[in-house]
Amino acid sequence: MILTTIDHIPGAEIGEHYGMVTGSTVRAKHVFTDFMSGLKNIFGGEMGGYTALLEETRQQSIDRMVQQAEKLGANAVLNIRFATSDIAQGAAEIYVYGTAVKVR
Amino acid sequence: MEAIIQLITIAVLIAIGYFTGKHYEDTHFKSIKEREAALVNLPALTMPLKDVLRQQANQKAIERAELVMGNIVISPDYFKIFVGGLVSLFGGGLPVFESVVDRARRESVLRLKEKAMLVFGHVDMIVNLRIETSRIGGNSNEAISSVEAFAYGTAIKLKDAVHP
Repeated sequence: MILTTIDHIPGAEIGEHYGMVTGSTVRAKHVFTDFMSGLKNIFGGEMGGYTALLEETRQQSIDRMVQQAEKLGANAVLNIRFATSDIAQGAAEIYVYGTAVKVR
Repeated sequence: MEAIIQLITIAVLIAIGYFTGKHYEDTHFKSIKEREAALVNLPALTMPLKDVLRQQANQKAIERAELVMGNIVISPDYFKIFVGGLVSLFGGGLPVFESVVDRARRESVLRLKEKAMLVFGHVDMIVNLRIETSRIGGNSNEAISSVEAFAYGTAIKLKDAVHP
C-alpha cells in the first residue's frame, strides 16, 4: 500500500478510483501520563507521553484507512489529509482521509 | 495565614517554572538550530510535486514518494501560564506562548525530516508539507493546556542516476 499526500504517484498510472477512504480513532489519556503532564505544566518542556500517544493514535487511524482501502481492492491512497479535534475532556479524535486508487 | 502560604507556593512555582522553563527552552532552541543547519539541504515545500518538478527534472526520475510524519507535544511552564493569565485580562501580544508554538512547529518538521531520512536512507525533498496545531487539554480541573504540532508531507527520493 502506497500512501502519499500528493495527487498522483510519479511514474505510475492510475487505473481505477474507489472514492474516499477514512480512518478515525478516539483515544483518552492515561491517568499516569496525565499526572506526569500535570508536573510538566510547572516545569515546561516536551510531554513525551502525549507525543507517543498521539503518534500511536495516528498510526491506528492510518491502519484503519488502509484496511478499508484494501477491502476495496486498492493499492494506494492519495491526497491524504489529517484532522485532530478534542471532542471531550481528555479525549481526542484523530481522523485521516484520502482517495483510494489502483495504480499500475 | 493560609492565604500567605498559598501566595508563597504560587510565587515559588512561578520561580521554578521561570528557571526550568527557560533552561528547557534554551537547550531546545539550541538543538533545533543545530539540527536545522544539518538538514538545510533537504527542502520542505508546501507546493505539490507537479509545481516543484516542472522545470527541475522529469517525474520519471522519482524512485519513491511516500507519506512521512512528525509530531511533538510541548507544555508551557508555570511562569508562562501565569503571564498568559495576566495578559489575557487586558489583552495584547503573548510572546511567551509564541516561542512555545514556534518550538513545537519547528521540532515537528525536524522530526518529519529525520524520520524520512532514517526510513528512506536519503531524501531529496519533502513536498505538500502541511502543519497542524492542536490544543491538548491539560488537567481536568484547569484550563491549562499544551500544544501539539503535527507535520506531514510526502518524501521524494530521486533515482540514484540523477544525483551528481
